[in-house]
Formats: sequence, structure tokens, C-alpha cells
Amino acid sequence: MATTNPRLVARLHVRALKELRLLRGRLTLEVLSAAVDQSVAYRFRDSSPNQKTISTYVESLNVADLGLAVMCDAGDDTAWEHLVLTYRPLLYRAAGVLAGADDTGRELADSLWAELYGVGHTRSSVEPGGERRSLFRYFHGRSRLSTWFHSVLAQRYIDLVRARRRTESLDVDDREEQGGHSSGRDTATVEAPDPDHARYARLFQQALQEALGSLDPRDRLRLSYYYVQSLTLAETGRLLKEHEATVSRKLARARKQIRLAIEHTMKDRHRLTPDEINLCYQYVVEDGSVDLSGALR
Amino acid sequence: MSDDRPDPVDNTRFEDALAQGLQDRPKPPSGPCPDAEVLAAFSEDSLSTPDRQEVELHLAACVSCQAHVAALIRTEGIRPEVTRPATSWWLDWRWLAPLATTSVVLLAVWAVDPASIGDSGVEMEKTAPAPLDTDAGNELRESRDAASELLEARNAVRREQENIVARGRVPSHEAAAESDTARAREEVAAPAPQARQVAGDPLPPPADTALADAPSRSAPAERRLDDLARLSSTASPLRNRASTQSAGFVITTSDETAAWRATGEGGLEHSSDRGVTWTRQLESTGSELTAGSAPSGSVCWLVGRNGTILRTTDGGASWNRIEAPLQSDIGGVTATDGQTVVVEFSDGQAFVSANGGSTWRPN
Repeated sequence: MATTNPRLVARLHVRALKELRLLRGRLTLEVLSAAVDQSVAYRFRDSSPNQKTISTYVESLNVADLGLAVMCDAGDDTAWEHLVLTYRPLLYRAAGVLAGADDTGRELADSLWAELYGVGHTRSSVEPGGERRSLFRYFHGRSRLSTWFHSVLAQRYIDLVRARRRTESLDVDDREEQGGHSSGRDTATVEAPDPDHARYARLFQQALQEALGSLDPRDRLRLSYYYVQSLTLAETGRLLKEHEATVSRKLARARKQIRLAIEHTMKDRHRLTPDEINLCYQYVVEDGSVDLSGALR
Repeated sequence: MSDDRPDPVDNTRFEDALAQGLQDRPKPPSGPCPDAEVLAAFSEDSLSTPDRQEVELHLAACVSCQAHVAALIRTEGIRPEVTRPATSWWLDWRWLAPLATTSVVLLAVWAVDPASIGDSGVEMEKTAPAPLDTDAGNELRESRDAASELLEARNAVRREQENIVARGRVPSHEAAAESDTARAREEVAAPAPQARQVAGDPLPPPADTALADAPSRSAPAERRLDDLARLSSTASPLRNRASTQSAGFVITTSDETAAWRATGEGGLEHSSDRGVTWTRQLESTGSELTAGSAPSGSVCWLVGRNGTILRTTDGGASWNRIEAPLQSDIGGVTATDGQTVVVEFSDGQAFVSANGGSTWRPN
């Protein structure tokens, strides 16, 4: 693989020291150069880029944040002091936004902080040989440090919610086996049995998957951001680099396209009447016991 | 059954079924998920175009990564203060800004009433720093130019007032009052933007911005929402997006006598002094608000997600929840009074009510 241009790294070094004064006298050119090399090696681990591609990548690095992470990883007290004062309150705020008012967010943030110190008890905290390693080793300067913190926190939170959901699901199964209360969905099925219920729901899912499959991936992503992740039009637009009016217009168009496709399939292929198609919609909603978007929010 | 034959009930069912179907969609194999740093860079829009496209393609098929990115966008506004690169002290705007502001204020006061400043004001003008050959110097000159223009306009109004008084049409105290009013109008209508930039004004009260362009329809309201969000993030990154709700927006009456502000936390505030002070009217509306319309100081309609419609007819002393024709997201509202209103759903459907929301018909 091509190597990083030393002149470019020297320029980045100057930039890092300008952007973050505390790095002056601490972050040496050699240390930064090693961190940049590691970043390049990790980014292009599966490819063999040319010199220009590497230079473009290196230029885009958040070099001051990378320098701070390197200094913290090396145990520099001043760097840690800056990190704690600047980022810890923000991490708690982000945890609050993700997890709401309960203590889960705070606990996650504390555990993440421990991993940053290299004293956590996750796999990332311990080297195969038993040596402690900081989470900072996974930061390569591609994003800002603050966004990376939020990203790691979000990942932890999503994992936690999933684990909880699995546990809750097992609990529900146990209760059902013991003759306890069953879910509302099953109760509804017992109270109003419809021999076509399962069939209608299955037909709808098939038709929907066909309709979604015919959509452009970006259209699918837009629908998911809006309907599954419950993002606002503005947030969806920001992620897709579209104006919110464009998002709204394209959502409406995709909805119409999907609906026409579904109803066409149901009517022509499965010979369902409009009322039966309406029942399909109803059954799918009734069957929907899983609200992933709500659980992950 | 198609969109050519509008059927509100079916449409709602379809939307709910679509949302459920999207959640249940099985994840097709699309390679390993991007790591936390790549998703962070994606949410910052700092990936190269090919990398971005690759991540987007993965996201289209991976609900888990979508949730990750959605979580990131919700915490987007929580950022540390920006550390500025070191610059020479004499180029630092932090001392140029107050100096420029002081100069502008002194110029303004001196031009209105030179006697009130006397020699000291002239002295200050003389000792103002020489124009700098820098951007900051240019901004300083521009702010002075803007101030001069403002003062010229103000003096013209003043001369006109004096003429009116001289002609005996208006008693002098009324003329003075009118002069004050005109001055205040000028200040609202034509603040010197350059001066504000140089001074690094932290955050103009949101109402100021909204009151300057006060239409109460939904689309401008959404634009205002964006503007407010931008202003918030510019001034104080820490205050932006502290919750999962949108940043908020301001609704004003056409005569600007009253304003309501939907806050990012789902609450509602009211101002009766052009946005100088705000009082809390509702702690939480229970749903994200998207738009509002206030035809008068006592009547205001608010709309939001999941068919949320709220109305007050007593200036916000009490709010009533109105049953919407559909239980889906409403993106716009235009009210004529407390009885007549048009709501626009985000899927393009619009309904009108002429009896305060008791009944609705497609518009």
C-alpha cells in the first residue's frame, strides 16, 4: 500500500496544534504520524488505494480530535482533564436524549467512560494477552470525537434495548406456557376469529415486499426513516441531503406507488374485493405487536 | 380503493399497515454493518461520495443501522464549544466587535442629538481605530456604512416630523411620540446586519426573527422552524436539540400584537410584547407540533403529528383539543377565525371546518 506523505502529515500536525492548543508540546509529529498511518491502514484494509486517494482521506481527518484521542490513550493527564471537562457533560446529555429520563442512559455513559479509560469489562477493554486497551483505539479521526462518542453510545443503547426485548419476549412466552395472560393480539384473535385473518396478513406482506422491492433503495430508506425511525421530515432530509419539502413530496409519491402496486396485486392476482383489501390493512396493523421504532427511540 | 377515490379511513389504515410492514421487512444480506465511526461520519456528512453511497445502500436494507443513524441525528445538536484557531490578538474579533458596536452606537446617538455627547463624543470618533486592511476592518467599515444609512433615514423621518409640527397639524408631544414609534419601526425593520455580525450578537430572541416576517401559514412556519434551528445552533450548540422533538417555531398574529412559540420540548409559550418576554402556557402538548395559525390575538390554532389539533379562543388561557378528520400527521393550518380553519395533512389531503372543528369536509 502507498504510504502517507510526510509533508502532508507535517501540515496536519501544524493544523492540530492550531486547533487545540493543549496539544502543543505534547503531540509530537512522530506520534501523530503513527496515528495517521494506523487510520489509513484501517480505512483501506480491504483495498489498495493510490497516493491521491490516501491524501484525500488524510486531509479529511479530524486531526485535532485524533491527536486528543491519541494523547488520552497514552495517559496524558492534561488531555484527560480537557476531555472530561469538555465531553463528559455532553455524553450525559446525549445519553439523556437517547434513553429518556431513566437511569439507563447515565449508566451507559458511565460504562462508556470506563471503557475509554480502558478499565471497562467488555471485550474491547482487554487485549488477547490480558493487557488493558482503551476504546480510543477504535477512533481514527474520520468523524468528530463528539459524534463518535454519540455513535458508540447509540450502539450500546440499541444493543441494550435488543437484549431487553429478547428477555421480555422470553418472559411472555413463559407466562403463556403457564397459562397466564396472553398478548392482546392473541386475545383479539380468540374473541374474533376470522379464518382469513392469517391469509390476508400474509398476502399483504407479500404484496408489500414486492412493492418495496421495486422501489429505489433511497425511496425505501426515506420511508424507513419516516415510518420506522419516526424521524421528522427535516431530520430525514438532513440525512438524505434533501430539502424537507422534497422529502415530503417523494414520500407521498412512494406511498401512492406502493399502494397502487399492493392493491393491483391483491385485486388482480388474489381476486380480493376492496373491502377485503381494507381488512388486510386492518389485520396487519392488529398483528403488529412489535414496535421497533418505539423500542429503539 | 385507490388515491383517485379519497377515503380517509382506508388511507389511515394503509399508512399504519405500511409502517408495520416496513418494520417487519426481513433484512436481506448486505454485508457487515459499518462501524460506529463510519456511521458517525455519515451523520456528519463528512464521508466521501462513494463511501456515503455505500453506507446509504447498506442503510436501505438494515433497520438496525437506520436506528443507529436516527439516534445520532437526535443527538446532533449536542456539541462541545468550537475551539478557535489561535490568531494574533490585534486581529481577534472579540475586541474588534465591541469596539465596532460602541462606534456604531456613539455615531447613532451623536447623529440624533450631537449636544448630548458634546466634545467627548467627537473625541471618541476621532480616536476610532484607523481602517484595517483585514476582513474585520472591512466589516467595521460596512457596519459604519450601514449605521450611516440608518441614521440618514432616521433624520429624514425626524425632519418630516418637525415639518408636521411646524405646520401645526400634530401637537408636539404627539409628534414626539410618533417620532419614537417611527424610530422603533426603523429599528425593527432595518437593523444593521453587519453591525450584528461584527458584534457577534449571541442569539436574537426567536420572536424577533419570526416577527420580522410574520405570515401564519404552515410553509413559512416550517421555514421559520429551520431558521430558528439554525440560529440556535449558531449561537449555542449546547441548547440545540436537547430532546428528540423539533426545534420549535413561532406563530404571530397579522398585526404582531401576540405571538405563540412552540418549544422543542413540546411545550407552548406566549408573548404579548413582540417576543421580548415569553410566558409558559402549556408544559406539553403531548405531540410534536408542526404549524400554527393565529388570526387574532385571542385565537390560535396549532397542528402536529398524529392528528393533533389544538385551539384557543381566549388568548391561550385555555386550549381545546379538536378531533381531527384523520389520525395522521398534519403539516399545515390556515385559520380565518375561531370557527373557520383549513388543515393540511402531510400526505397532501386538506380538510376544512366552518364550526370550530366539530365537523370536517375535504377541501
